[in-house]
Amino acid sequence: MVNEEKLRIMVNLARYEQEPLHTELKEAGYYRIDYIRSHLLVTLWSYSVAYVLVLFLVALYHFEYLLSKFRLPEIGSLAAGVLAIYLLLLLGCAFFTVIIYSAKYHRIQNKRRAYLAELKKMELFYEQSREVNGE
Amino acid sequence: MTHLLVMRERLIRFYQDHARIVNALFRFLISFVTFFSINQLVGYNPVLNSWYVVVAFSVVNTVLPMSVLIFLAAAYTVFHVYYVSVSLALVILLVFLIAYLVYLRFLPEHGYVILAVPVLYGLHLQYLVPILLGLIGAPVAVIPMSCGVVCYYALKCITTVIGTATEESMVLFNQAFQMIFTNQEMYLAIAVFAIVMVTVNMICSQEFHYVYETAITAGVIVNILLILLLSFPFNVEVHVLYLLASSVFSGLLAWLIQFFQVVLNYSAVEYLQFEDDEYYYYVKAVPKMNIAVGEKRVKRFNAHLLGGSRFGVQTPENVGNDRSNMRSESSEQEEKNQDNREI
Repeated sequence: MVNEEKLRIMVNLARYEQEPLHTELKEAGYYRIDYIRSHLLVTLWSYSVAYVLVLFLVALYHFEYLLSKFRLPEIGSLAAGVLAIYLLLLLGCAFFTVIIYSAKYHRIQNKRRAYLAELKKMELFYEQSREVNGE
Repeated sequence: MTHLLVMRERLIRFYQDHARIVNALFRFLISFVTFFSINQLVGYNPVLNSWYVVVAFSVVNTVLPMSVLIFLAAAYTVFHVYYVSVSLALVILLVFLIAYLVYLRFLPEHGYVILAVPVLYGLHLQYLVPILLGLIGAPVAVIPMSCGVVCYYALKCITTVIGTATEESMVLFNQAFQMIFTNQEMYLAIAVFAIVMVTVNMICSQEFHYVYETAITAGVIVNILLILLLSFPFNVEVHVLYLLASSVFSGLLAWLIQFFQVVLNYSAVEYLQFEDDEYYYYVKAVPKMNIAVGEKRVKRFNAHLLGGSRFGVQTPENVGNDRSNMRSESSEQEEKNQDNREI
């Protein structure tokens, strides 16, 4: 016979074990610093590639100007400017990534706690049923 | 209203009974409309432009996750432009890649908003986007909505540039970019959509009766007024009749979607007050409007006399069958009576 209480716990557990909650629960097992650091690396890499692509588009747009008017000292100053903007962008990204992923880590920890509570309920349920069966 | 509520209940019940088929059909429809809109906008490649390719892509999408649709739509657009200009296709590819790396990688669910804007523009329902996002989304949805508007106008500029170009060169890329950055209509759309969305969202967060209806009406009015007012400084030509019709129709559609999502019965609002150790609670409970759908039952009188003939027309064979049926029924009844007596 179907046990309603057991079914309810199992449905809750199954909900936690589906995507995207499953991935979040896996990530909730990391230490806070590791979690933030891994996401920081991915974000910085993504923004670096995007910055290079934007630079490529800008260079393509000003292609004729770059070919005709540019000399070595001007290229140096331009490269310094580009680098400075890149570093500023990375700093901004790092700042926001740390804030956003700290909040997210806190949120997924709460979910993990709720998931563990459901697991505990399930374990208790099995213990009680074993006692009833006299095992 | 009652008819609408009954229809809503029936539709919900139908969806609950046939959820898998309806979901697949819905996916197919969304994919079909997406590819169809892209074909309308940048349909250069004759192979991709044909009906059977659109249907094939849509059928494939019914079994794939919805996130694949965004990737396929982007690839579809790039291949269309690639047919007429390699340089512009490269630029579009880079722009899509940048959008993915900077934004969609972190908030993939917002990709649907970016995709929905050009698609709804193609269906002339662009004013539905800010109203609907204001109703169901968060204020942060302004970013993907603006990205969607830029995508639509970028594709429109590219089609204009390709239409006037005589040969394929990097000059096309410069022309397209200049046209996009100086497009006043795009800036007007971004500004108006953002204000409408925030207005609707702010009204929805208030607490008064018929808040959703008020928000939709306000959204439609603000949309019409802002476009009319800002069209002068932005120097944009506006078709007033089209604007009015499209805005009102978008408002009605938004109301219909909201109606199917949740209907509240404001005539039965309850105000509750209770307390615990730390707080005193003032609760306003608005019940959802539900209506019992009546089930049709056809009761046949003297059904056994009608037999197999339709509309009760008696044929000689049926008459014979009916008599034998009547005899067998009466004998069964007698047997039952005898059993009862024995008991």
